[in-house]
Amino acid sequence: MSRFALSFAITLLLGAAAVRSGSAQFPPPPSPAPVCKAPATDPAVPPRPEPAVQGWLILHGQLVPAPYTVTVANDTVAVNGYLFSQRTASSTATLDTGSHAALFQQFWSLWPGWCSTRDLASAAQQAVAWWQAAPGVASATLIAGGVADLQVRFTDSPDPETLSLQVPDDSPPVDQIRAQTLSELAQEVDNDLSYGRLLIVEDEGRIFSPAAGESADLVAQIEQISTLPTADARYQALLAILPDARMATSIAQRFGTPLSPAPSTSQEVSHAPH
Amino acid sequence: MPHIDRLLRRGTVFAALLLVSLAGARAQNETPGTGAKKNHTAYLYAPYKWAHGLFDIDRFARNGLSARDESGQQYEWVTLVETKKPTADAPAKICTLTAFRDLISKNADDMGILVLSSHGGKDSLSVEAFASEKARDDQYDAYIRAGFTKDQIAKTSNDDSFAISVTDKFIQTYRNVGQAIVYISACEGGSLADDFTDAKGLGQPAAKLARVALGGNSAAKVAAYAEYGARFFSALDGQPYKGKAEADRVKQRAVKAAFDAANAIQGVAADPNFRVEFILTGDGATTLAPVVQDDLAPCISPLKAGDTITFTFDTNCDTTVVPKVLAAGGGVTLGAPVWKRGVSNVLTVPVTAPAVATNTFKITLQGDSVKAGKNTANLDGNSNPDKVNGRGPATAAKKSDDYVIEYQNGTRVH
Repeated sequence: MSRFALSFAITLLLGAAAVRSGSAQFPPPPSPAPVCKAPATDPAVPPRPEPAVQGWLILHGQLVPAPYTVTVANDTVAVNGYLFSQRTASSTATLDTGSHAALFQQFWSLWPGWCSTRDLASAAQQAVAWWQAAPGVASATLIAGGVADLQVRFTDSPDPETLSLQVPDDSPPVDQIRAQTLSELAQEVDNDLSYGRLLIVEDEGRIFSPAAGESADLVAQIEQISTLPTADARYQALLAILPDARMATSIAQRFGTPLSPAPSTSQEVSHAPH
Repeated sequence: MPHIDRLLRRGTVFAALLLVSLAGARAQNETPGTGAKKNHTAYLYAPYKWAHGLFDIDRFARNGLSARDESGQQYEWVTLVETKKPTADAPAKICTLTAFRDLISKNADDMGILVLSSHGGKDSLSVEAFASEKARDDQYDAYIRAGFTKDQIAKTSNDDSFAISVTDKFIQTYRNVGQAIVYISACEGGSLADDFTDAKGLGQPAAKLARVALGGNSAAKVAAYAEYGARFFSALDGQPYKGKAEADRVKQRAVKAAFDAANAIQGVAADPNFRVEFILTGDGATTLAPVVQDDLAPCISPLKAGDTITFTFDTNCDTTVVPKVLAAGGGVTLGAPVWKRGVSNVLTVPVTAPAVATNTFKITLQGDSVKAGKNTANLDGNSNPDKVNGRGPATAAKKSDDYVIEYQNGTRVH
């Protein structure tokens, strides 16, 4: 790894390890790097102020009462036991992978090795030759003007397939990334809720956070709008103050309705309001 | 500019006009936005967060743009991020083609910045990932039946998954981004930049286009793109990323300058897999919030009635709003601030007392009273962090980042 790459990797690891102490209950970060100091992305940033006021969480359109405890449970982030995402029951049905899946699998398993021994342009030429020799392939060419875009046409399909031949990353396994992602998200949520912020969460990947200082006013406006008589009137009013239509829809329909009891975190499937 | 300082102290009209003229000439920056709406939300779209993990750009973008206590230009923050690998049972549910279409077509009033982090190719950006080729092909057919055309969407794959990608034609058809900044962190993402910024003869109003767009011009590692993003977004926030010189910090808050600086470093990285260059289209004279240009601030001590205090901003401001300027100490009183005619970045404030010059006083330009010309951004002053100008966090509601000029016995202390 070059010095440049190494430097950035350290930056990433230190940034990931920058955990503010608080009440949140997180699993230990999966990163092997020790938690030792503040984010390395900018050492000149002043120290974070002490927690000021409790924030607000609107989850799937409903206000979750404070105080908040943030955890990682049932493969998602949970606040006071309410899960951000619902877990999908696994199916035993056989996955139909597609008619060329085996070829793609074989190609993408070869690609990192080619990139490790030659530059991108040479590896892309190797890829072209490989696809041209593959069964069922009508043509394989690099797209003119592209850096490394390989277009494959199969004899049994009218639509071409374009492969993005990017230099592979040294990424950890998906399961490890998942654990890191949840840990990082839980820290962010805890941070926001501990500093008087409003979070509106539709899913663990769909979150709105207003700018500092705006949260209390926004909550007051949402509470006021929730008194409007119709869902459509509430939606239109919410759309004027929120930058996401889906969140406006959820809040228009659910804000102020009784919150279901939080599910046990040992349950496989959440019954958080959704 | 010591010669101008001397002339100003003498109170010559000529020198004052010269200074204002020079300052005005440098004021071409605007914030994103149309001038009619808020345009103060940063949207992140990341369909491969589940694969990129800590190498994704999200944290770096948020640090520079959004709601942090210690940094960020205080834009509202909306994520559309796919955090779980799509499976046969649980396909992508947040980052889908229709969600992407809605993102770029239905948020023109709020959008200030659009950050796209994904895989890409020439005139192509992956917006929906799939667990299998079959699942992708079935959904592709469904989208075609629903009215999307084959020149708008394409079947693609990368080393993480099968995908449906949007093309340049898709962007040109659905774009409505309210003069936002569009940042495309994807291989060859720069090939779509002009599809956000250029009219392409399609007759769409300028408000539907981006003010500026930039994206990658290479096929480097995801981690390399994250590094580029860390540089770029810290620059927009005025942060001293990795030893940046203080003199460059404020200058590189504009998109073009930040882009040039990042290209200059990362475009020549020794490791070719970390070598990333971006290309930019549109108007790079774009900042996230106005800043007082310290380097144009004249020495105003001693101060007396008849003098004029001039604030020159790096970004055009809303001149229909008269900022609040307060004076304290030395018996200093001020008249009403006035925006200089013909430009939108020079504010003058007449000094009405004392009659005898004083060299101890404090002038405070209130950060929440200085509004950007094109969106609802406020001043990024020199009070937060204390005595550091133009470094995030910018002024937010109930948390003003004022610009303070304070002298004690003729020495500037703030």
